Amino acid sequence: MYIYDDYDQRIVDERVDQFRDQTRRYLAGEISEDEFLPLRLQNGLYIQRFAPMMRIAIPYGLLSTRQVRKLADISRRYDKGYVHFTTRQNVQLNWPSLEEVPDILAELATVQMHAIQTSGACIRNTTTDQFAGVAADEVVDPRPWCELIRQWSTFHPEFAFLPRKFKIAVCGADEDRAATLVHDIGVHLRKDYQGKVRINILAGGGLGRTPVIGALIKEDLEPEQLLNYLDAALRIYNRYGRRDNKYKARIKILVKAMTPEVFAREVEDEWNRIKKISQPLGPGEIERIARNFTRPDYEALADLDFNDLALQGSPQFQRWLKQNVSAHQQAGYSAVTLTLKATADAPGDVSAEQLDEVADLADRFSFGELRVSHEQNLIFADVPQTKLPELWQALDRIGLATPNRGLLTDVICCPGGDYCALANARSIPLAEEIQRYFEDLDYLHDIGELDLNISGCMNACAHHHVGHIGILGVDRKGEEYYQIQIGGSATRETTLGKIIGPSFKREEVPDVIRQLISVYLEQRHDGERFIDTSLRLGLEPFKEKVYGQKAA
Amino acid sequence: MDRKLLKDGEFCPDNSIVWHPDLIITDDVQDILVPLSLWLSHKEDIRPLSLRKLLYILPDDELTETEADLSEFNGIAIEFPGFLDGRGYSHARTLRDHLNYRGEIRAVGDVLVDQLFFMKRCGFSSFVLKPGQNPDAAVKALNTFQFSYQQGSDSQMPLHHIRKCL
Ligand code: HEM
Ligand code: SF4
Repeated sequence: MYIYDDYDQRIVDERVDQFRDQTRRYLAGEISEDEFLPLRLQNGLYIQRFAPMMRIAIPYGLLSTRQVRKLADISRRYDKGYVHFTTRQNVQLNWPSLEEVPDILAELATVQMHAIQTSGACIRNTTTDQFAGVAADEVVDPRPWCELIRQWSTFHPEFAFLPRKFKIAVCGADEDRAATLVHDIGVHLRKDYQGKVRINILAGGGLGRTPVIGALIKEDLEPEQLLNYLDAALRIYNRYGRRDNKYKARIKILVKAMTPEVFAREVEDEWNRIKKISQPLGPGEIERIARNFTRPDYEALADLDFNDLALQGSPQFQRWLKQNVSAHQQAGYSAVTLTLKATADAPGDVSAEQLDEVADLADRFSFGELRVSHEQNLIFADVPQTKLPELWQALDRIGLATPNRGLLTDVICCPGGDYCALANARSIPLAEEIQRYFEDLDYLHDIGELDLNISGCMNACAHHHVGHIGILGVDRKGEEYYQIQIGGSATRETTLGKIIGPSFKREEVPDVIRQLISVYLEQRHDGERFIDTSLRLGLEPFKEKVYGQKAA
Repeated sequence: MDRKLLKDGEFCPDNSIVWHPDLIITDDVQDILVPLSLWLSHKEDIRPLSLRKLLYILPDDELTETEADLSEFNGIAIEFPGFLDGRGYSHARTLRDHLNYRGEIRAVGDVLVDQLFFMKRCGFSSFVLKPGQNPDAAVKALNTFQFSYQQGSDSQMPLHHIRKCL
């Protein structure tokens, strides 16, 4: 956990004062509706379908239990007693009132939290691997770098009014768990042969109505130059990104129009100019930030034999152990995922009571910290393996031991038509119908890893383009329909899904998914996941199965 | 004209006007804003004018074309056609950081109280407020935050330097 120093605290406190004053001036008629809009957005406040919605940042996904309890408390006092974890390491309240937002921000500031730049055409919350700092395949811990980017981007004076929102994701492990290739900028941390940190930068990825995979624009950047380089990239985007058309304003359109080579060259030239006048970051700053991350007080433990451990528990425990428990850097410890995907709960939703219970458990089992992932799940990152059976029991009791991490029912889902004014179709009820349809755990585990993503419109808040199966809500003459695509993935080899054919009514969707899966089950090679088989076979056999011979 | 110019902590009426070749200059005009494109085509007409001249930069302009001429102006005015168009911030920083411009940089157009702090940090030194903006709030807004994390083009030190000096 990064612990604020007095400066960090002062900055968020002054932000609260600023927004309190702005809200007062707005309510007094001194600031017009249009002028207030970006001010409230940059403090996380949307006006959506039924009420305002407030988005709170969870920088790079880290939460202390004190913060979790504060969120629970806020959701009870200012909202309806539940919160929604999003696909961008943010958390949302659905019903706060505008007048109370300054108070909510003040409450958040007491636990070192904020809603700064969680919306608006500015640099948004930086996201990363939910297993940062504990993943067994990690090369560089991304957290200090994320915090550095958080600080740099916070109230960056030049980039508060960009052509469009701007999202940066950081990854420092072999596996990319931060979907960096579909972000405006992806930061890849690596080590050179001498063990020094070096950085690769990708630009121009994004989803929405024009999905694009990011292009590598810089290799082996020295870490001291990271912020100067980002300044250069953002300046080129700020100056030349399109402002005439909202749908063409993201950096991906600029990079495409310029070509990645030319864009990279422009950035390089600007960076060379900046380098001349701006001091590089001293090595002391990264170390200082790294020091302000508390490290859990690990005990010297040995890794347990998971086969033995599994035999001590019930079949449910065994499933959970296999599916929801991940390898750790520290011997004797594991990371545990709590999927917020029990059937009948809206994906990502958690009640205030559950938050309090989760906080108690994180205090008992995981050093008082937890993580949120872009799959809308919670993670206990530092659980001693000896305590796994006890933790499982406690989670099972509160309904958070669903053993489906990475499986079909671990659906990534946007708020859709139930909450969002932009939706073409509802997504939460579909997620629930799918979860109900695929309740058979043996079948689910036999299918294995399968990312299912459901977005209610082409804005792609649930990343449907990079789901192994992606579902998109579409409007056909005022009726809700769902278009299905397969073959997407957000890994180092990111692929964008391809549409299988005409869209379906909601009640047809679960069975279509079953048919797609049946093709996989019939044709998979040993060890292949759904995504591997679908990429190997291409669309045809899947189309044939779903639409019959003639359509294919 | 009820536009006010905020400069060095004081307000005065904004008596500037955008220059064009047919402009009739009345007595109350003190500053002329010379659009970059007209400057490039009418230098000889503009040079003899005995008024304060500010080079007037629009979002689409390329500043590098002007580098040699900057010393002929008393200042530079950067237009914000709408406050959501943030290109003016990058122009100001380019002038301060890369072209080493030390004179007045004035924000004109849709200039609102709640963007002044950012403008100041990007190197703007004067501001023609949009009519209707609250002057007290404007002065206060210039000092919204005591500390800033990042390097700007003003005199404020980025926080990582301050921390290092402790
Ligand atoms: C309910 C209010 C919401 C509205 C009005 C909204 C609106 C949008 C829009 C318009 C885009 C497309 C931007 C573009 O392509 O330029 C977008 C993208 C996105 N939104 Fe939302 N969103 C909402 C809620 C959410 C929620 C709850 C999540 C997380 C569950 C989310 C996560 C994302 C993500 C990950 C993208 C990624 C696509 C990209 O950046 O290219 N949004 N949103
Ligand atoms: S994908 Fe569309 S429907 Fe879903 S939250 Fe985003 S904007 Fe709303």
